[in-house]
Amino acid sequence: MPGLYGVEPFDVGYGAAFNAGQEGPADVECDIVEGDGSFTATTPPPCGPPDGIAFVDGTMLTEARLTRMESDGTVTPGLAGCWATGAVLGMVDAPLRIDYVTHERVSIMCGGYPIDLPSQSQGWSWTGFAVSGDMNDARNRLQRAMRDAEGKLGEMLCDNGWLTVLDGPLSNIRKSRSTPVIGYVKTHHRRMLAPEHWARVPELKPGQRTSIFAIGADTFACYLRIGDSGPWASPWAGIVRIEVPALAGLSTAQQTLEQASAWLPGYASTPHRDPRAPVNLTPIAGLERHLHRVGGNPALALRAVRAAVLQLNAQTP
Amino acid sequence: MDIPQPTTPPIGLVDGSQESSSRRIHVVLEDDALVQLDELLAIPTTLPGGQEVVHFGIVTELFSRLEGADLPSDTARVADRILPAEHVRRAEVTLLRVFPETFVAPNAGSAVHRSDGDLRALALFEDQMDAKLPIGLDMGGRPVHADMRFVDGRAGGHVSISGVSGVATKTSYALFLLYQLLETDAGIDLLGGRTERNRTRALVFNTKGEDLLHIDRANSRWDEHPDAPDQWATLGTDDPAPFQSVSLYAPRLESQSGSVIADIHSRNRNEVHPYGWTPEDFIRQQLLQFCFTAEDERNTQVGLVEQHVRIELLRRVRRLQNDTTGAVVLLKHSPADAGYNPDRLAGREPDQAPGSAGTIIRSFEHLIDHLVAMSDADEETQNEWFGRSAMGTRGAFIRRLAKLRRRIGRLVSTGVTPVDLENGRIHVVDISRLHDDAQRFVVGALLDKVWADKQGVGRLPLRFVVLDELNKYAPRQGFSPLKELLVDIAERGRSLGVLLIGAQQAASAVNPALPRNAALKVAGRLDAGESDAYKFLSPTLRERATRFMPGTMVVAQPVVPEPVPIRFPWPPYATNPDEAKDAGTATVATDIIEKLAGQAQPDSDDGMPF
Repeated sequence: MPGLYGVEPFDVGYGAAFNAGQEGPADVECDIVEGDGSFTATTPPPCGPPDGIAFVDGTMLTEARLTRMESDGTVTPGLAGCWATGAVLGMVDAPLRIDYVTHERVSIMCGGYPIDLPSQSQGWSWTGFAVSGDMNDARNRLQRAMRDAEGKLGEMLCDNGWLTVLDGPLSNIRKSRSTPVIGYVKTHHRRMLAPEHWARVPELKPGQRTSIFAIGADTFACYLRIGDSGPWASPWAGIVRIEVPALAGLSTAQQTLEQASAWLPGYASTPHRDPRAPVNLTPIAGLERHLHRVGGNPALALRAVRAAVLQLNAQTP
Repeated sequence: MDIPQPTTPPIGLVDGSQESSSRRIHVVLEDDALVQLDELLAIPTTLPGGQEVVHFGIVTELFSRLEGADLPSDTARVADRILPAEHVRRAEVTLLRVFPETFVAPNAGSAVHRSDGDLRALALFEDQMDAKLPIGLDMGGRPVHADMRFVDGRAGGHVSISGVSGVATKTSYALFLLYQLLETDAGIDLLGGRTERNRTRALVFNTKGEDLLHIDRANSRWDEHPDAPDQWATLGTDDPAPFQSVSLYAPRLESQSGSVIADIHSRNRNEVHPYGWTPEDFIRQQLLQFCFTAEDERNTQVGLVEQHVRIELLRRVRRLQNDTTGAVVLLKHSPADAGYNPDRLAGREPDQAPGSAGTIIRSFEHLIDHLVAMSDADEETQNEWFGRSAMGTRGAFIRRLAKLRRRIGRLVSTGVTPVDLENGRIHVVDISRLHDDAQRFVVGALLDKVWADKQGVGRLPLRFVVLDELNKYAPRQGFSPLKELLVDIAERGRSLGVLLIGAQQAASAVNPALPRNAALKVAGRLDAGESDAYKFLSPTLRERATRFMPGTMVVAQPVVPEPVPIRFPWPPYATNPDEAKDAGTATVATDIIEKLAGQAQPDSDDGMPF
């Protein structure tokens, strides 16, 4: 009998949600730490979102490719781009609002030393960075800038008592943190459970979560089917991993993950308004759209980079 | 003139997400700014080169949306606190003016202020008005002015008021304007002082109930409108009072006894003149022509017969010897030397003649009887009276005339009082109880007199005519002497100082010359199906006017390029019998109330359960 087919919206910008198909060297077999250690799929009891919830996310965009011809004739690549981060804050009896938005325009050159793009009128300016590697490293540097800002914002909100949902894994949150912070992971790059457990994760019905497992010593996590992706969807569509720091102990983690499994599906997006539905949370989609606007028009950004480069070259004797 | 600076903080910014034009912009409002339709705004702009200009505009529409919500269903997501969104309010602003005149659009992103103080006067072009007549209060309660030069005939004249009956308050507004002109200090000044005001006359036709026959009395519901005194004070009148110097006229009560008393029920009959025309007036003022004003009558030859009869009456009319009541004698034979020029004949004082010289005419009845008799006379006599018209036409003329026997009859008799504009400033003539034919007859006869008296006299003294239901007198279709007269007044009246304050339910039903020649165009609640006829209103305002509450009007005037919605205060004068405060009755009523109050024991706890 042939296997079951599934279809997902193809979006080159985000990549596939499930990349952990084949055995890979990064695969790990995390231990299930809940109950008797066996794999279960359970529906958490209903629970509304807490008062004082924050969703944190960031966006980034490469707006121009740069090159520099060195004196020996070699050509070094680089990029000019922009990242932005912000938070959606929710309190009982108030509409969700976007706050703490920051953005930065950067230039990142390979080859070890930065480019100093002169500022342009209408507010275009760049912070210069350098990486020693290639274009991939340059892109990673841009992403790191965004992730650092996300982490900083997430920690700040945690400190202020917000239950923070960070879009992505908790790798940028200091591991000592015990106050409520939830990592929300939409893409699955590697197998994280024993193969017999891993194979059962797609059995989750919408709103159900798996048993909690430990990722290393510092994180507890579970899989959650956040919403119904439709009968056409691939087995892993609609499944996210939510994780919390381990430091507060298993029972706190269990309570947080149990409750989050109950209220997070309420924020799931719907396919007609978001190609990444249901996993891309509606507040985060709204935030991303706002952050893209804050970053400004990419076509104008490219024009500004061109003007800056012309100006820079004109200064060179 | 220096450009005044805004005195209050900005209420928003010129929207940069869509284009601003030199005619229309959008303003993104500050969170705490309360801005309503019709508010006047000012946008200071520095042009390239450093010149400062201010754009003035009026809020013509307001918008509100959730920015970030793209689909209708997103609204629920925002309300459920699932989707972040920002509430944004915008105002569409129609630009009125750039000061100093420069044809540019305001800069996107510019701060927008309210047009307060000196800015407001500029926004409404009041700096361009030499003489400002308050014509109402804007939605914010501040006075709106008209340029008097467009009211008194110097640069323009006539007022056209449109709107649905009952809710458009057309008549009330016409009276308000009249009050502003004739009874307020500002109006008196603008008319050229008290002497000139006292030479000014207003002829007001009452077409509904006996409503306007009480404007000389205080309004009994004045106390129900505690904001009215302040509104009048804002308009410059600290002590509003009923109209002064009012003469009232009603038709003669129909009676067999021949007594002459006014047909009026809501007032003492001795306060109202029973008006009409004596047979001599009827013939010499050639009023027969205004007996044939129905729409279809000019399509036939009846008009030719009427003209012939009218001239023949003028040729034969003589005053009855030893009579002072206005009775006439129609000579048996047409004088050979009399001529056929009606105006010359009419201008000649008739000789006296004994009753035996012909037929004595004391009433409309007598006149018709005589003409009927003439139509049965021998052919020679018939030809003298009716010309060589066909038998059928002659018959049609007589039939139509006979129909008017009851309709117009009581207006033409001996002993009635003519409407004489010398007897006071304001003359209210009741035509409400008359048949349509008789209403047209009265309006035609009186307007013809006013018009004739002003020929060759010059613009001053002014004559204002307040006439509702203009569509009845000057309909879009057809021909009649009355319509021609009204069109003539609309076209030439302003230079002769005859100024029409006309009202109609629908401007489309009136001969276009009338609204077109009106300098002030006013509309109250409009009929949705009719609003196409009001090209002077913007489409939004036209649509809005179908929802106006009673008392809200919109005024277009030549100086201000955009019509301005206004309200006007509760009148100090009665505008219908129910509002009329009768001093005598009121005193009695107060006495009774006081007596009753004395008997009652307000402190008694009778009937209280605990």
